[in-house]
Amino acid sequence: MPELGSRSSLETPLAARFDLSSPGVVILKTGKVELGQGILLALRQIAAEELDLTPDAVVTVSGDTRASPLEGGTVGSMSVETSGREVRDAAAELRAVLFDAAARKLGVSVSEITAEGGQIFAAGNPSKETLWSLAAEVPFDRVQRAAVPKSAKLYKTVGTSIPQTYLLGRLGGGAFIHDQSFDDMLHGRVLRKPHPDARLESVDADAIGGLGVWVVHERDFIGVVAESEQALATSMGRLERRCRWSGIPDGGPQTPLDILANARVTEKLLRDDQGSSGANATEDGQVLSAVYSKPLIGHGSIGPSCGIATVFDSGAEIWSHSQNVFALRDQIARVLGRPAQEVIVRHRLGAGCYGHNGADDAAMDAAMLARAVPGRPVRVQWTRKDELRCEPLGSPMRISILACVREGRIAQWKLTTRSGTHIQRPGWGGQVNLLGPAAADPEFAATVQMDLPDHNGGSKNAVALYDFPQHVTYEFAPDLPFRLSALRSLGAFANVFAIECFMDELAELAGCDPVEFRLRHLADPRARRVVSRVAEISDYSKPCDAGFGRGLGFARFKNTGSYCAVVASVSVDETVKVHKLWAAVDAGLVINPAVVVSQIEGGMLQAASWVLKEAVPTDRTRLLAESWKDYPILTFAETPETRVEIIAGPEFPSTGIGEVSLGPTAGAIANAVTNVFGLRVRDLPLTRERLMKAAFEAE
Amino acid sequence: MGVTLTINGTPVELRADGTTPLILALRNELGLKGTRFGCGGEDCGACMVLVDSEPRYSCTLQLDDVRQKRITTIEGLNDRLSEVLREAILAENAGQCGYCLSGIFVTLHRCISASAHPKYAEVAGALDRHLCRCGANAAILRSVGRALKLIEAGASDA
Repeated sequence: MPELGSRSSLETPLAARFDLSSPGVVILKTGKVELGQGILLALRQIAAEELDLTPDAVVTVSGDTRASPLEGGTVGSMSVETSGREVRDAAAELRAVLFDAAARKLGVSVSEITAEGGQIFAAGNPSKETLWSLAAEVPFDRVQRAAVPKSAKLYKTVGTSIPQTYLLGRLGGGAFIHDQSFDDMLHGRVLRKPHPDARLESVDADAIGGLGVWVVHERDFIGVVAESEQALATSMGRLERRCRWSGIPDGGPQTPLDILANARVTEKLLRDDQGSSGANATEDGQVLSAVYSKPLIGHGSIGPSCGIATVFDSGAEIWSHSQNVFALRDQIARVLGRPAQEVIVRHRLGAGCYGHNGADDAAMDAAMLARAVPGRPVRVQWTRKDELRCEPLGSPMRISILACVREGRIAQWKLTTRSGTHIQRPGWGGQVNLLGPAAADPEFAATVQMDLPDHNGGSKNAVALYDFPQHVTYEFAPDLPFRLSALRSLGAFANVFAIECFMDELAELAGCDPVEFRLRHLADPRARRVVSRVAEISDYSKPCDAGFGRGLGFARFKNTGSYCAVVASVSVDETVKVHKLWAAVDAGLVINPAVVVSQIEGGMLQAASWVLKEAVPTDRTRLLAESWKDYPILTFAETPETRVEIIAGPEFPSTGIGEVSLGPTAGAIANAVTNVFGLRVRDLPLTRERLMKAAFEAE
Repeated sequence: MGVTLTINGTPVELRADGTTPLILALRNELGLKGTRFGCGGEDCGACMVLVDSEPRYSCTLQLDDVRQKRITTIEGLNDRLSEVLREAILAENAGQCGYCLSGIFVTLHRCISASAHPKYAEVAGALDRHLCRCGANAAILRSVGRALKLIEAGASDA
């Protein structure tokens, strides 16, 4: 049998994807993992549809390096787009294999075979055969992909809002990795360096270790393993007081954006349309320029990062809420000095994940600590302070745009976006990229800041979907002194924010309604439809009530993904209050509309939080937040109403929905603020202080 | 060493230090893992439990603080109101990862059961002691509205 966990392309045999050994249940094996986004339900619906089952007859084995096909990370809103397609093709193939077997056995032509709820029917008559009885007799190491999936017109399960009943299961204990426990489990934690450059000068470890307490110390890596969480907390407190650190750089008034502005950059031309390069103030027509920015922001998952590891003589067994168990396995194996096949990583649900957070670090922490107590599982759970100080962050960004408007149309457009990297995942650039190994061994401390290639990372959505001649440059800053990696929508959030704000600024210059101005520059009918539709459902054309402002933002994620337009209704009474957000989204073929609505809403509200409140507090390169009080996020009292409308597009392939609404929401809120406040604030977040400063400067 | 308290209606004698955080005793000594650790500083509400019917953050309470008191965790909420809340949460898809949801459920349960005619604004206001990061806030608020309607309909049926 081919090695499991090795591939997920067309060569994946059906056996690596499906297990029908338990009658009544189809086990679907997937490398994709549940992050709170509902992907496993969507994949179950897709498989159930092809097999004429209900989704509850399909169960998943997910993110297990021993049992799942290698499908890369659960990243970039690609799971339905790519894995969904593969599951559909594979399920169609399985159906074809089993139907062929049924036809032979029942002596009818295959066109007369149907199935319902797993039972096989021949010419409409029930038979004794089931998917499972046939599967026992049919070898399905077959890999050929000849079967054609069902026509979307026949769909019964795909496209319906199958209830997310698993939510109720998460109300009790047991649903999360944090709840997992083993009989002889120990609790461990690593004392994080106060700054990435810090060195551990000295530690009085003897004063901490003792009965049932192990101190694990390797260069700048120091942690404790204890018999109970309470004993661990006590020991960690002692350890913190007994460690002396050196090499912490001075603070200073420079913000991450100041550092970005003065950073060394490499330039890359992303687009240079004919007629765009001369965009400068000498053209006849009206010329406008503006600079926008987005600060350093965090993931802030509501549950802390957690990992559990047992190290044996023969290998290691790890539990993690990583987005990519295979990449994590490879780096843990590397650090432990073992072949990859001796390390098993299994995914368990963590709290909501919006990108590369501390999940992989916590698992690696657990593995490194577990070496001190062979055979015993070690559970690591980060503190809130660790989360706020040590998780990878979303890069600061600065976008400058200059454009010329002639006869009511944008004649030239020159955009430059500047950013640090949006990826330093485990293994990226050949490096480990995790905190524990970096502290323990200089060999593992190396980092290569190298962003994702063109039109991804910081340059994602830097090119506007609009029809005008564009000159677009990416200035990549490879030396930023912060730990940066993937955070929901990567550069698209700031790029779309800037583009959509500037579209409103140019519309005003042209004396044109912002919606009409966008439509004037949008030929793509799917784009036009979401913009027009969100304007309709939000009564955009009607005047706002006194004291309220309205604004719109639009983007097609990556310019190849889903289309989303958002309208915001806000008021400004020193601080911005967002009252309502409307969205229209076209994600092609929709698997579960309710899950799409959840993801679009979640993106809108997270973006509202970023726009209104969030910036990681720093003292030059030092991160200062210790609690949620230092890094406030959107509260329930600040939560706007939401309404999401899905524009059906079953004739188009499914496109991801996790990241599409964030950029448009940022544009919509900022435009609505200007609509009612009369002034434009171009630096996020749109705090009271920023608005007051703008008002003061305008006077 | 021993602390006596009543957990979900059952008296429990815990052989634990009185300074043990309540959340650790619930999760690790009693296996009641629906109570979740989020921040350890009374900011997020993931760890909310009822102490003598009042919502309290279990991450900053110590066993000494709750001697002889009645503790109710999410596992102890199984009455008719709990059913209504679960129904409303499911109908509104009120949650994504669900990590914040246990604590929110505890607060909602208390807030609604404390009043003969619970008002939406009051119940929704009580959620300001909680944080949700997935942006399920709006759906959770819709589930509050739905639950109150279900309760009202149930009351008029009776």
